[in-house]
Amino acid sequence: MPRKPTWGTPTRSEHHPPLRRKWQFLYPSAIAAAVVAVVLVGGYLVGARGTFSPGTVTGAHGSIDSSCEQCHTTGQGVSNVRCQRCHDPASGGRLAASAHVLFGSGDPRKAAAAPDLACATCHVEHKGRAASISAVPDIQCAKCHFGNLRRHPEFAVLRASTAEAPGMNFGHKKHIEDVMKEQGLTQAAQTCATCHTKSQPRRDFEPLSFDQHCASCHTKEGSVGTVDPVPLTDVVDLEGLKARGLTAAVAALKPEEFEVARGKIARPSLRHRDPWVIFNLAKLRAEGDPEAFAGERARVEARIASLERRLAAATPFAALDKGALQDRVSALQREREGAAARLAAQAAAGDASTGVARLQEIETGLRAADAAAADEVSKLRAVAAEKGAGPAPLPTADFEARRQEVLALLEAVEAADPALKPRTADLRRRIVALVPGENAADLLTRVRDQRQASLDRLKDEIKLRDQGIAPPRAAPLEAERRELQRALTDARTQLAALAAVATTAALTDEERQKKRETATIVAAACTKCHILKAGAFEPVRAARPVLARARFIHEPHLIQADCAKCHPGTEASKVSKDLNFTGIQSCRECHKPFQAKQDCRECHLFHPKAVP
Amino acid sequence: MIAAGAALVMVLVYAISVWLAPWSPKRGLGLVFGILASLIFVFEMAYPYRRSRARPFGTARRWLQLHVYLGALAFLAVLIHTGFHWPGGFMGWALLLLSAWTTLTGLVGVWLQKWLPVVMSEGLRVEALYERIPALVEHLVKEADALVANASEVLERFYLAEVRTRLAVVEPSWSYLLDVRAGRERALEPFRRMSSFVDPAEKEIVNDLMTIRMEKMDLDVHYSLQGVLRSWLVVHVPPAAVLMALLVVHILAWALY
Repeated sequence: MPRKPTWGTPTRSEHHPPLRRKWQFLYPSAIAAAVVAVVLVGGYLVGARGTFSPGTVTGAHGSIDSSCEQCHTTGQGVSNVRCQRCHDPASGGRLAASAHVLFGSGDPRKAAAAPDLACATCHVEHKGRAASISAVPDIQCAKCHFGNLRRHPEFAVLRASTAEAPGMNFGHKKHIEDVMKEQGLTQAAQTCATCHTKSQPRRDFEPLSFDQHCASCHTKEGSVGTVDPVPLTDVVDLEGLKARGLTAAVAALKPEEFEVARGKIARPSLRHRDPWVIFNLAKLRAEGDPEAFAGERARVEARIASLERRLAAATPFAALDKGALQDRVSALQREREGAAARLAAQAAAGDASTGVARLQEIETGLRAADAAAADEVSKLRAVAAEKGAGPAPLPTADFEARRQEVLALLEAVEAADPALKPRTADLRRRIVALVPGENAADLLTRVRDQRQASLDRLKDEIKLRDQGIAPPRAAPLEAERRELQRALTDARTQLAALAAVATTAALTDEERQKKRETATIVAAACTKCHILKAGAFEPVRAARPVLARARFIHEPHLIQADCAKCHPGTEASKVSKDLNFTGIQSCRECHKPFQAKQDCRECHLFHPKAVP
Repeated sequence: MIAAGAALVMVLVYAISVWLAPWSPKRGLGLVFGILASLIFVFEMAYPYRRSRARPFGTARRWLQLHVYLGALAFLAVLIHTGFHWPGGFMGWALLLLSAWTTLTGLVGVWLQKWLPVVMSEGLRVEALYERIPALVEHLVKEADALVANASEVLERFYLAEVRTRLAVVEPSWSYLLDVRAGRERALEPFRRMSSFVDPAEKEIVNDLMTIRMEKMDLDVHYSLQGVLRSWLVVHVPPAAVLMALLVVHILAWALY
């Protein structure tokens, strides 16, 4: 009889082995998980904090990768003050969103109203060593601006149809024609490289200079021209310059370059940047237009004061002990309280100064006679009484004129009573610090907020010091200190030059006019190219970028197109103000999808420079 | 369909959000998706309670469906949380890879649970509990020994040389994943050859031995495939538990910093 197979599942018997335990995998898994958690947390407690991190930080921050407290505050995330410790050591506030708005719009009130923006919103960390946290995506820009290059407005300089004069009388037409004739060229575009020579890679063109680009045509035996005889009573001769301690500056000048006869001095030959001309022009300006001169000196003094303050603030935290930090805190607290008190005093007098009280009187008076007119006045009063409305800001031109006026007044006050100098110096600094478009209340608010921001940073630093967290290394601070130091040296040199020609002599209007006429004669040879305005040469901005809020490098573009593609009509241009530039459309021709990049950061910087 | 719809909605929400504002895992919807993924992971870890505790989802089957579909959605939420970017460090990579691994092994497990039982029921004649297979094999050996106890010397020698060694131990093989009847013809060939050598009276014994050998092979297949069905959890549950541990550390780090 054949064997019968055992169909189906065998029935259970007493010998049946036990079934798999219900949570066979769960307990070992839970133990494994617990071990992993303990290892990670234990590692964190003994200093291996990288395991807690969602990713390594970018290469530049590599040295603080495992020192979370350098950037993070427990329970509060990343605060801006931690970024500023290294990136804005001088407390200039240039990294704040308000600085960006001011940089872009030039409107201090708009800047003051700009919402605070955390650095970490745009600069996202923990994306790996090779990640660039400065590569901010366009979508961040699009929060406030247009979304893409197609919607980019025409450049402001073209919209306004005016460019700032580059301080020179210059026409491309004549120069191009001369170069073509001299070099036997047939096309205007071939002449560009004669003056616009390439610089280091990514550095654009070499700056234009007289010696390199102009001297070959504009000098004859080393002379750029002559100066007709001018009275020796108005100018200083060579010996006079030496007597004033300018020996080094005039060392190159020779006596035969001067002709003195009948109480007058003339120059048969003149150098470029001739120290005699520069000194005497400044002297004549100080005498002929003392108000403008005083304004200029005040500006330089205020700049020096501001730079000195920032330089002191830019001292590396590592160089300050806790006592020094506390001293700074006390000083800043006093300044902040002073600004707040002045602001409160202004606010208390605000109704009177804004005319609200006066408008109230008018409204009350009108109400019985003309209700409609009273309603209109009521509306005006409501606008004026709005919080922070203050007096309407002056237009920029009026603002500068008024500032000049006040500075000259301060100069007169100081001359009359030298004992008032500390007070006038303080007032002068404040007046120069005002930005067109903001009033005193805006300025005080800005000062108060800036001091508060500095205080927050210092307090944070003291807290970190108490926790035993080291201050950032000095290197990131040094670059900014060097930049501030350089600007300060320039400003001091400028002030010394102004001080050398300063005068206290009070001249009549007639005498002043005479001085101005003499200045015109002294500068006659220079004004062939340079522009003389109010007794001083306009600053030369030849071949400087005209795009104020963008950076542009010619080099990579010249590979793609010749000069005439973006600068048509240059060969016919007769004045230096001509832009000869096609505008945003020429950018769009190449910067489009699947071709050249069109990211905002390709051309624009968000943060203004440390030292403007 | 509901899961696919939910996935589509999640991706659409992400796409619209990215179009409107920068994506950040730490803020806004990026954080919401991170929290969503974490909550789903916590729910997923409650799966072992499906039998012994209350069943708010009706049946264990329903719970399993939720476990599978929500698990897949959780991984999608993790990807959206990262903004579909590669992570930058150990913790980021560990979380992403463990999420991917747990989801993948879970889906492979679902596929195995659906496919292997069908394959076994269609391709095999014998059914057996995994834990009982060694005992059943032992029983088959005893049965075969009894069959050849009074057989001829030739048949006994054949049994000892070519059959018993293959019957004595369970022989699992990965090849059964590809074909449950793999190697069967080759295994029967000696029996067919032997049938032509033995007396007609012993042919029935040879046939019985052949049947026993077939049953043993069925048990080998069961042992192999049921083993896979049970052991895939080793690659699913412990990594899931480690993922939870890392998740706790990740949330702790987020809360602290």
